[in-house]
Amino acid sequence: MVQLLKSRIALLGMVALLGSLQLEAGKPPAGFEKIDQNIVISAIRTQMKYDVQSFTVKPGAKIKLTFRNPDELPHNLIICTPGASKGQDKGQELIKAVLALGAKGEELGWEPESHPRILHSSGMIQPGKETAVWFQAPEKEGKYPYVCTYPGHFTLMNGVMNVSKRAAVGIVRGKQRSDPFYTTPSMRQRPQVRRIFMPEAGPAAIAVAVNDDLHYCWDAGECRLRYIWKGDFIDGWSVFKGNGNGLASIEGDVLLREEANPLGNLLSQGSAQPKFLGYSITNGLPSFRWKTPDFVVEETIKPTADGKALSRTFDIKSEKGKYPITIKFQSSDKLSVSGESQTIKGPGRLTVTLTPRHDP
Amino acid sequence: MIRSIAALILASCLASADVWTDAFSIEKISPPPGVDAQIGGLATTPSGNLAACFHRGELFIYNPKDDTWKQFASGLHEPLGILAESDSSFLVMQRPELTRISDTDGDGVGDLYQTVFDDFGMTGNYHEFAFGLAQDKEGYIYLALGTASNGAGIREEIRGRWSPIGLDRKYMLNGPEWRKYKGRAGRMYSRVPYRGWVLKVAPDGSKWQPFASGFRSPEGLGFDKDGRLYVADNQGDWLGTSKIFHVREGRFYGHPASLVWKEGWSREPLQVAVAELEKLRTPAMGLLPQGELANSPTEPLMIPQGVFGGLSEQMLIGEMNSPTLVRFLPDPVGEVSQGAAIPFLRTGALGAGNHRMAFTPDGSLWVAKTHLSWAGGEGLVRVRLKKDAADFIAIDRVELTPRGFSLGFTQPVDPESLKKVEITRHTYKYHAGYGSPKVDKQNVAIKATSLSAEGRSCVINFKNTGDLKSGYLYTLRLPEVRSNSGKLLLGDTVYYTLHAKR
Repeated sequence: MVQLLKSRIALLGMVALLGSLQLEAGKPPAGFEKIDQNIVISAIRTQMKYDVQSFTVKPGAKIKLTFRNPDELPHNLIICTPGASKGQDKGQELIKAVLALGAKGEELGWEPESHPRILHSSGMIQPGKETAVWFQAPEKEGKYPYVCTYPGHFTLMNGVMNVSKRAAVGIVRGKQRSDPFYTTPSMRQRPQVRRIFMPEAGPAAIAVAVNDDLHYCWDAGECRLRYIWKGDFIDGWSVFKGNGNGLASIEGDVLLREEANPLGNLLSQGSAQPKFLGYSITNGLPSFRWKTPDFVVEETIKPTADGKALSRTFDIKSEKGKYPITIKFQSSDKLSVSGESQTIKGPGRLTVTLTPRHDP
Repeated sequence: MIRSIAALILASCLASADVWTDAFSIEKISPPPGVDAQIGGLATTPSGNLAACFHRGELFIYNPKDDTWKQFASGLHEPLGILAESDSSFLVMQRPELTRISDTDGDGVGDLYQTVFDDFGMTGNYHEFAFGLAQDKEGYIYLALGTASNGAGIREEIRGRWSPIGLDRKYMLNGPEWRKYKGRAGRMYSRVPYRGWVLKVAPDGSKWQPFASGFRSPEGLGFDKDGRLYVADNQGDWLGTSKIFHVREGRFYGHPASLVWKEGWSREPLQVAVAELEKLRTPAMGLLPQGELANSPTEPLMIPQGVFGGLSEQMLIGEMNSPTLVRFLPDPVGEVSQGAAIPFLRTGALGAGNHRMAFTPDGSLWVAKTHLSWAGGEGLVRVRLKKDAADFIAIDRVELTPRGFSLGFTQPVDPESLKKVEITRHTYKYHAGYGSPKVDKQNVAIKATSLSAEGRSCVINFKNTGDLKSGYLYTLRLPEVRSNSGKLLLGDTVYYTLHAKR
């Protein structure tokens, strides 16, 4: 523990010198209150891989890079200079230098101090922990490899930061994509509202990317949330590639499938089906509106301030409906809800927070 | 070097042989970067820009003056039609609904997506396209709903009422078993409302009505100057060839799947005798011969007044599969709609995939392309009549007479060039099968071809007036016809659909 603390202090000193900042409290350093891009990279449990294969940033952009480690081994993420191979070598010289550390390696977090190829480092992140690194992207365009320098990890655990004026910003996760437009700005837009054929929903489905990590599917036919997932958004190639004979795939882990409209109590007041009215967009996020003969309802799902959870609001207006109304929310083993049963006494808003539970 | 000169000579020979590009310039517009350039809907805005919605749901505004694209909306579900209500409000036909997208805060980007109309069903079958849009003089919106294809089944979750008429729902589901049952579903099927119908909707969505039935894949709708609603439909089951319908309220146009949503209807349409369906249906105003003129006709659009010279206020119809458009000249006989289809811009320079069209006030025709999983194209092209080409010659009138046809031309015809006129007639089968061969094809003997004194009207009399038969398509070939000034006829084949004689 003492050793670890020591290495952290050394690390902090070094990265500050190099112009990147890593803070455990999660508060941005001066000058980074407003960032251009938020990148979240996670180690994949038991697979010795990052979930993000590459990401693209603009030269000079202010970046917040969150690195999460849900694995059972410690991992780091070090962004390297392109080197002689122009970014193709997975930071070879650095890896050699790490091996040369020998017995000292663990103490130093497997990070050779002031190595010329180190640009930014997360520091060694222990299982179940995460960290954030703020940095300004290099002005020089090119491919900047990132690796985990824990011995033996780098061969699988690597990726590339692409610094480009022209290429679309965003991240590419995991597998190679058939879709030539997968990483275009239109597809990587966050937040994003996309009407497309989705699995486990009616044909009038709407997929929403709340941020880079949390997403949901809302069904305009049934006027309700269907499910929430975490990870990447969707791959729509099977729909886009042809005539629409296919479903988009969910590129993440479903946290919750909501079996019924939480406003069942409101719906039971009339026999008519809820009627979808459309949505308005505020800061890229939709507020879905629907009505029954007695009520007009607006549902908005937003990220919480830290982007790690969702805030879900119902705004209920009464035409001639009766109060109080009980709203019943579902939770799951992967998502907690701040209040499972809530009552509203008259027209107005009700907000609950949906928080992904940590990996066991 | 030698090779490139040869190529140049060849290219110039081809160019001079292309009567269309002699008269019209055709220019490709670069699509917005990073966007799948299949365009589903195209409309002109009041300020003369173009609103184009793309395959993956983006809606961009194109400014022709400075050749720029600006994004207005995103995330739309396979939009296949758009109308511009203003420069900041659009009606878009998406797969699941008719939506009004408006910019309410004046930042040039749509922020309000209002559902205007979604009271129709979806099984999730890929072929259930929603096509549009046309608007009548009173402001009502017309849209058309494609039937489902037995190329796939339905999804577990559907939207809308399920019609119990037909194969049991449990056998209709997508999955490995579908192959076994698809033959019993109907080649194209309508199991949720109002598949195979044209619907009429108030622009505020407050009321709507099923307007006409009997469509298979009614790809485009448009009004002509006399207020006729044109709807294009695609060759397939029950359509021996592709068709242009003049659609009137309450009529049935021949594809029986849609009948299950007719009020009071309870029978399995596939078991109704063809003779009975034949009595129910209103025949097509225009038959578009497969493989010759159009395989997948798309949007009908009127050429605005004063545009394209002598073709002003005539109807154009797009075509997906081949590099051409179609021009249609109605020739109603009493209450019966019929008329002549003529190729327009039949040139490789246009390319295929001609799905949506719009005119801007400067007289440019814009053709937007798509393909999905079929033959077609991508992007946007601009077509302009060349400044020195206003004296082009084209047929501007086709009339049936008791003894044959009378044709009008935009320029006086060189009498010597009229000698090679040939006429054939044929018909198609009306049956559940896919498409139809040409049936009962015959040459029609011409007695005399006479040109009026001023050279702009030509009368063709048949040898035998018994050759004028209802239900037939007449193909008039006029090769080498040229104007007195030596210009070749633009569109030298006329396809006349005859139902009623004069």
